[in-house]
Amino acid sequence: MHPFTGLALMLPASLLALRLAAPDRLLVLLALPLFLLLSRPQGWKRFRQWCAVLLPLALGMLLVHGRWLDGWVSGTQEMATENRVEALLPVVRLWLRVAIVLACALLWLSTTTPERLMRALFASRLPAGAAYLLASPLLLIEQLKARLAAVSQAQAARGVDVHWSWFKRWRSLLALTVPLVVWTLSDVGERAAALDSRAFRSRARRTTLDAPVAARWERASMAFAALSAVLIAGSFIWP
Amino acid sequence: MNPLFSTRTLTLMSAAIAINMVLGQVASMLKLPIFLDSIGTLIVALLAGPLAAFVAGLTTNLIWGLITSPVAAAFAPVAAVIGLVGGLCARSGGFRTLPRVLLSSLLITLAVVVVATPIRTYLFGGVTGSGADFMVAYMNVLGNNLLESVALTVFGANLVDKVLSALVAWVVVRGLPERIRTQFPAAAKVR
Amino acid sequence: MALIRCEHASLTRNGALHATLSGLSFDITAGETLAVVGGSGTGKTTLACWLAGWVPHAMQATVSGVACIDDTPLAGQSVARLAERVQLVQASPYAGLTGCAFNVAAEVAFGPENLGLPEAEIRTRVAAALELCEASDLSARRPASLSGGEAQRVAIAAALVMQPQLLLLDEAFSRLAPAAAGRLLARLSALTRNGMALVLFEKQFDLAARAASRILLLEDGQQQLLDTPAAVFDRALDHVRACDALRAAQRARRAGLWRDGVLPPLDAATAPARFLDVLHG
Repeated sequence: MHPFTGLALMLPASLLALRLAAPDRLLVLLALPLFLLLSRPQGWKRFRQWCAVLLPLALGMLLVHGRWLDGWVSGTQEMATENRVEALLPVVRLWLRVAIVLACALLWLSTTTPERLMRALFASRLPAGAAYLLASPLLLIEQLKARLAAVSQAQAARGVDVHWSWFKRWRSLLALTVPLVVWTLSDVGERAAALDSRAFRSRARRTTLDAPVAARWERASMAFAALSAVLIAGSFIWP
Repeated sequence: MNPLFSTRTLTLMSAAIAINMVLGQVASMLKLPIFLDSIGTLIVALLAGPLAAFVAGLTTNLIWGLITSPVAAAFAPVAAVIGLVGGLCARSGGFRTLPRVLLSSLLITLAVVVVATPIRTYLFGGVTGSGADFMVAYMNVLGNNLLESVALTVFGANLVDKVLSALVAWVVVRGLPERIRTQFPAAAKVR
Repeated sequence: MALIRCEHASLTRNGALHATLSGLSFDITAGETLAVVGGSGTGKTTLACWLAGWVPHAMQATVSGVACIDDTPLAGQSVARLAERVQLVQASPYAGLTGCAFNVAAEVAFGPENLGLPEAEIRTRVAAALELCEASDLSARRPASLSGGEAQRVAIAAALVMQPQLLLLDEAFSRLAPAAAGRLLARLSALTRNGMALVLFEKQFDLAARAASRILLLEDGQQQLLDTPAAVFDRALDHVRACDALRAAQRARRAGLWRDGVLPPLDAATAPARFLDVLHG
């Protein structure tokens, strides 16, 4: 599947989530991407990712908007249950909307790999510099993490340990951070020279090998997504 | 073709984005109450200016959203404004002495509050699913409205982090060897 | 018609007290192999970067004298635009990696992709370049996971795939085993027969002398000699590394133990024959 297809479909889905107000309708809208997500390979992992964000969010919302702390702090009468439910309704709506957008985003991410996405970015009409900015940090992070492991081992040998108490953790942080940052910055010039010596951005049009190709149904879906997004956005203005 | 950023600025931004993401993970690994995800952005602000730092911050959160949590992508404007304000401060000599660095970091924190509060309040109901929610709830109950409570919490959570990040970025850029510093002739003054 | 022409050229890096390079007068024609030899810090890398168009954007410096490629000054050229004609392979093997390719094949293909070449041609070029550098088995590897020697081979392949008119190799064989370096150098020499000019920047005399028709000796950034390897032999070995056989020959020549008319050996392989010539006449 072309990486941009899922992204395009996310737009009307998110707009629809914003448009709907009734929690039961929102729940239906939520069920669909969640179901699709669970049916993907590695679906459970992504579902756990989804839960890891949304459950604390739900708890936080209950805490902030449920006003359970009222009686405890200011000694006033605790709210009646129906009032509390009414107060929580907009929050529930908000939570459901976040849930839908997040589920759609995770669903999209499950349909593509960073490599394919990078190729799609380079092959698109996006400037090559923007594609580079979105792609190269991912690869650099792997090197940085390896470097971090090496640095923290060297620091441990010199007597710094990441499992220490609070104060020592702060000190070890500085000991870890600065060398890593300086090392990363030191070959910025070389990497730029490497890019330039491969004629990076020297021509207006570049070829991309193995660029993902959008099948006919995908192009149709993207057009459908764009159209529905416009219609839904329009329905905001003319209810 | 006249590109917006030189290739060297692009590689600097790419390195900064990677630094942001890795250090952000280090901070959460060490379980310290700071984020540490803007040091790279501030380094770009010092070496390449506000626009490059704006884009670097924005891209950091977009990529973070891509690989870790799409919620981070919603806060991309916050990361972007850190770069923008940091770069503007740097250009106006806000990173030349220690007191100025502290002042700049305060300005950056205020900018963060201005941008993050509406996002957090209207998109997420003032909640992030972290321990800071207790703070918001408490202040809400004390009589502040939600927006104020969120603003105060964001300020408190970010002040230490931004001061620390600005200091680290400043120290690093000050200590850069000559051969690297000459590659960025447009860098802001740090002495 | 010279591809590169330098006359009394000198270069001073920004912030340096005296000239980094001075007194450079040489030219490079198509199909020629030139070697620039000198010890550490003599300015070889600076010269390589200058020829690759790094001045002034990637290397801040002021230049004087004539230093031209196809009669246009080298200083002020954009590296990206020059990239189709001049390719530099740097001493540090990882310095040539772009950092935005997920595997070696994509890394090598990055350059031709930027040139907008048709897909089929890119694939052919990439396969040929990897084959020439004995790096075809590395195609699927992550660039960051390569060893020093592997990264060097990939860097050379990435330079060759651009089909440059001038290939600059700055100590590009340092991590390769001698046999592999020899094979690669032989294949690169074969390419010069198609018109590509090759410049080797080396601290090692034998490697340079094996392939080059002329050697330029640099000392403290100044051009000392420009002549055939045999002619610069005695002086050059005072400044650069060489294998023991060549050192022995140099000592012998200094001590007057050499026979007139016998050329000095240029590498360990030809040394025994020369010694025998000296012995038996």
